[in-house]
Amino acid sequence: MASLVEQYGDEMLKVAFLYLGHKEQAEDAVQDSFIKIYRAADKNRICKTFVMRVLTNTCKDYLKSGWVRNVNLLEDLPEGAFCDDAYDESGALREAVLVLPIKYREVILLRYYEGLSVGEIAKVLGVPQPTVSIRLKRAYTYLEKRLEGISREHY
Amino acid sequence: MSITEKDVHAALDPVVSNVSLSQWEKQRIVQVAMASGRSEKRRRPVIFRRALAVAAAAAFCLTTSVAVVASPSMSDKLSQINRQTMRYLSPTNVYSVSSGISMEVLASMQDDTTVISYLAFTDDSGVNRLHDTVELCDILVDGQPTVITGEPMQQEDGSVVVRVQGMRDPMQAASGKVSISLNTILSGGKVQEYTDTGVTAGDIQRWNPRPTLSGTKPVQSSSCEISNGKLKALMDQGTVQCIKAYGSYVDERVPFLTINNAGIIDDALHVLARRNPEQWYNTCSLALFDTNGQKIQEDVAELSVGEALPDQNISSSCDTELVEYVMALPPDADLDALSLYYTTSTYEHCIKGDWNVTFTVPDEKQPTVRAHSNQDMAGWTLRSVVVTPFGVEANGSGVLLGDSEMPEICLYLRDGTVVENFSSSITSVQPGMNGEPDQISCKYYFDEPLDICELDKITAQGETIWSKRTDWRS
Repeated sequence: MASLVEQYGDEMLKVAFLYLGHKEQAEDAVQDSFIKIYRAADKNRICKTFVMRVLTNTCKDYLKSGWVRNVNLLEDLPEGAFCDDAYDESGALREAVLVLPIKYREVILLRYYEGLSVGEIAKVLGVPQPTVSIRLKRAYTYLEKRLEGISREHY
Repeated sequence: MSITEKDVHAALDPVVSNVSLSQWEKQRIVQVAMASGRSEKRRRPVIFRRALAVAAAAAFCLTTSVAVVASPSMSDKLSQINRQTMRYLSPTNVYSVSSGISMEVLASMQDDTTVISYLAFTDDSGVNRLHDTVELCDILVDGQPTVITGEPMQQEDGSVVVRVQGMRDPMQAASGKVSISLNTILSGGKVQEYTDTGVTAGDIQRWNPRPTLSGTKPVQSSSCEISNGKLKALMDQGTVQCIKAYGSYVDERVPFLTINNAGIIDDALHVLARRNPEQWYNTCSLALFDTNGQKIQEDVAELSVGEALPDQNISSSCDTELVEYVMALPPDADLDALSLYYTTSTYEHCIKGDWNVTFTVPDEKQPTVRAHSNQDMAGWTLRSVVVTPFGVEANGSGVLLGDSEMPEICLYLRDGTVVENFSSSITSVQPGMNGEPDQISCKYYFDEPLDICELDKITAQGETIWSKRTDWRS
């Protein structure tokens, strides 16, 4: 158990934070997730996909429960600090990702932040692979439009 | 355009760069999970989950530490500490036993100049001498007496947990090693509020109309409430005309004080008493009250007179055996309308021992916010303000004059909270060499660690010197 926490703990906390936007709630979510992992899994089945699945489900439970305050993730970011006159692409992308609706944000996080394949994301989210593909495509379209809109403003 | 993993990481890493689990939290997670068992349970409320987490982590730490005290679990002892503090603590688990009392360092945290440790005291003698009025008289951190202790937290098993905060030498802080030593514990403190002795100034005047003077005696130390300066000359000259000791009287209400004489000299009531040096920790104060039970607003002084006692406890209030109480009389007062009142502060137990521990606190770099300033403080210039989870340090250079301004720092948090009152502060001046200005540092401490990520704005003397929206990179 200790090795699992050491291996996945920090990563899970970061993902939970990107879900929930609140550090303490993210810590609670990680703790809850490890309780579930310990209870439900035997050692052979514990892998990144399984761990992420437990975590995402836990985070969604938190989002539904109302215990999590309605946080705008962008409040963590200084206004315009990343987007200076020279148009900072990283800042624009960050802003775009963090305002995505949760079902699009999570596929972006799992695909591009956690590096999971479409098949693995499907297992994590408990949805068919085509559903993951569609969500990714829609998230991508949204990001494209948003980023183009921002880049047009700066040129 | 195409978005790659690298792009997303570059975009999101700054958001989560400070988000990580400490070793303490990882241990806690492991133990919570293992303690929860494999049966299905209803979701617990957050508060209970945290208490369970602390309990589990404590059990884990007790079984893995090198020096383990066979005492009730650390979890119970730390359960009153909030989660914000727990995030910064590293389990320590070293202990020292003396005089039947064990002192265990439960957990600690540090930055460059400060170490905060939670100490648990347990009476293993079976007498239960510890109370929530525990005072650590002569505790030293790294040999330094500048130690601030918080309110003791009484546990159900009779043990007491105390938060101790000490200044560190930066070189020693870099090594991570901390030493804590203690020789005296006071416990069972009680305060008797001002109570009428039943004696008036008129009674004393009649008993002793012409008090004999013993001559002037040196004043070793004094405490006084000066209202209009009548006794100021007495304090300034360093000596005082004392009343001569004559007889002895012990009031059972104040058994550690023997009254040797009392009389009125130069419009002031003098009471000469002899303290029991073995009960140096018990103190008594006297004052005059009017017939309405109101304290007379005239000068009152307590002067430790005579020869200094050897081997004084570092915080002893009894540096001589003799104390002369001097209470200025109101002009043209009716002496029979002035009643002599007393108040005492006593302790049930004074436990002497030799508690010493040395341990290492992990060198975990704490997040820091630095703000720059150039404010004129009347003699010196405020140059920078540094905020860590433990406190605020305002630094500058120049000369600290009597009418110089002191930094008024306000921290504004994202949720609208304003942190402007601090539990304690220390000001230090390092003299400049070769004509260089003095380096001035004012450090203010929080009661509990502050989450730096919640900081939104810093002001000094009302002016904004740092804002997260524009200065967060610093």
